Amino acid sequence: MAKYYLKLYVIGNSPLAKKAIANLHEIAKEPRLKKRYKIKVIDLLVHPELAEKEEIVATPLLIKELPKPTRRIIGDLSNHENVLIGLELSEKP
Amino acid sequence: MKNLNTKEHYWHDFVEALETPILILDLNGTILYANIASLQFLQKTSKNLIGKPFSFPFDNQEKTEIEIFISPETILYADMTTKKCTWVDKPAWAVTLNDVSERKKDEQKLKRMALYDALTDLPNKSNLLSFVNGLINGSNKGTNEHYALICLEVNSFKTIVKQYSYPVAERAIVLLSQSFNQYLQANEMLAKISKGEFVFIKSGFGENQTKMFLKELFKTLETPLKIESSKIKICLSVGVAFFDSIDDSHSAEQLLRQAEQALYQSEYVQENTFTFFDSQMDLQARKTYEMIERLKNAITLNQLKLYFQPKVHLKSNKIIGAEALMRWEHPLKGLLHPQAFLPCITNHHYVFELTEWTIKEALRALKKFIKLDSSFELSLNIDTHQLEQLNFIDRLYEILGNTPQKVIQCLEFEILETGIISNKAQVSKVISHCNKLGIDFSLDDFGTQYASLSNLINLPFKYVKLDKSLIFPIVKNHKDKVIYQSILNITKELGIKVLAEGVENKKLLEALRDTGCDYGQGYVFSQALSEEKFISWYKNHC
Repeated sequence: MAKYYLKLYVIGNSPLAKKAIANLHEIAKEPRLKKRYKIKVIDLLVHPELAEKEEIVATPLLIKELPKPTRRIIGDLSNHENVLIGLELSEKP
Repeated sequence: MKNLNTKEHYWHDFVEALETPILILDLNGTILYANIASLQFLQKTSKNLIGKPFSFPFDNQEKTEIEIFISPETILYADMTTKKCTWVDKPAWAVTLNDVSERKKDEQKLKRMALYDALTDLPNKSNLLSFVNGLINGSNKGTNEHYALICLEVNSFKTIVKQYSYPVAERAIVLLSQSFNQYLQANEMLAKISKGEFVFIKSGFGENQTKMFLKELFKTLETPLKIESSKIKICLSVGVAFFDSIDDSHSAEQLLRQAEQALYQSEYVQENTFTFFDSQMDLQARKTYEMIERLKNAITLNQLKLYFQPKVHLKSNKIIGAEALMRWEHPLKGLLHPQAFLPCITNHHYVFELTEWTIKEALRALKKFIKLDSSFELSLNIDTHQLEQLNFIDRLYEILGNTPQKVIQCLEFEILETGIISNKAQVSKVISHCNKLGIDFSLDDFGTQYASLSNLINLPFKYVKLDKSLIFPIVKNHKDKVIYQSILNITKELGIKVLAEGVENKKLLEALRDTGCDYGQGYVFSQALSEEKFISWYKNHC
């Protein structure tokens, strides 16, 4: 089964960043993702150069690097089902 | 936009003219179009946006909060909504970005104000309490970490305000906070919880580490702070409570209260001292706290009163004044003398507030008494610890307020000889200052403890009050009479008036008159009386 490489870009320790990180960890507990993922949380305040390099318009931004195709999801990831759809782990309703 | 038909041109022009930032995405979330407002808001050119991935669009997506990274210093905030639309005859998504940056910044500002001290930018009390509660109940569960909660109070804050100005005092607090900040390690906190009160949370600190730390801190404070052209000496009172991360038997609020209880002990003793909290202190503190609450209540209910015991010139039998004595007209226990309630609070700074209440009450009564006799002398007892407080004179000025000079000069303070020993220089300074205001001093209970002649010589007392243990035997024992007579002669030589306390019978009164004692006070004249009774007694006596 394909491994998921997920990068979450946030800005500092803002409430929104915290919410997105917590939601991503919750989503990672989903049976469909369990033990099939690698998560990297990146703070743009620490790595501001990545904003341009990764062409980031807004955060929190989840990027599914692998498996291809690359997918981007902006927001606090509170709608778990939408995130799973975006990650192509769930069918569109 | 070459492919747009006329209708779409209108649509394009309309979107372009909107002040709301709008992005058009294809079904994969790639930006097809960005209006002028969005380019301005996102601070990008259309080249930077068009054709770039944004976000995978969802059918049922609600309003989403997003942050826009312009630079580490500039973060913008928006509410994002996504709606299906058609763009160049193809299904697409319209993303609206509603700029909420101002509102968000205001919210953050308010949140910061709720958690940080505006002057020093240090965490405030509520922030401190959450931090400590987090240490006790939070992430360190399982591993035991030791912490010290160190409460430091700048004793001289009010004095600095008086002597210099409020801005200077605030500047001193800022400089102090910067100096304290140097001692902060990771996972520790320095908070400012009131105008002149700081709290350190030091990790891995037991008693020894705390002692060493405070020693170093006090050493730093030996160098006065330089503010403008002034050099300001900072003195601290410190109280410490210890806690472990695995022991959740005490809340942050309780720990802070413990440290503050310990601080009160330091505050009462002297400057730049620290006290560690112990459970015995907790028990005592609770008793003290309860008594203070009862006393405050007694003041509100007008149960705490000043009673007045006359002082009489023995030769002429003329009343020269009175000593004001505190009495609690307790509804259940009857008339309580200070011995019944003061010892419990004697090591708490509330005793200072109580003395201030006494002075105010005495001044109020004195205004009536001087109508009976313009040279009436009203004395009251002052704890020498109070005189040692650096702000005593400032507080006294505040209490005296607009009191006429003719009233102030009838006021007199009685102090115990035992209290002078610890800080003679400060006591002497305060006595001189009070003398200038017109307030005289008496040396109370002379003969019970040290009976040091040097105190009589070096300090400007108007009266020496001989303790009854010194005068009782004069009617019987010749040897004691010699000591009494010698003290009487010396004080007269020094120009100090002598008042005998505890004159309880006529035989003693006659013996005192015969030996040339100037004044007397005791049951033979009258016990301490309430204000009304004293005035009526006075009128009858004259």
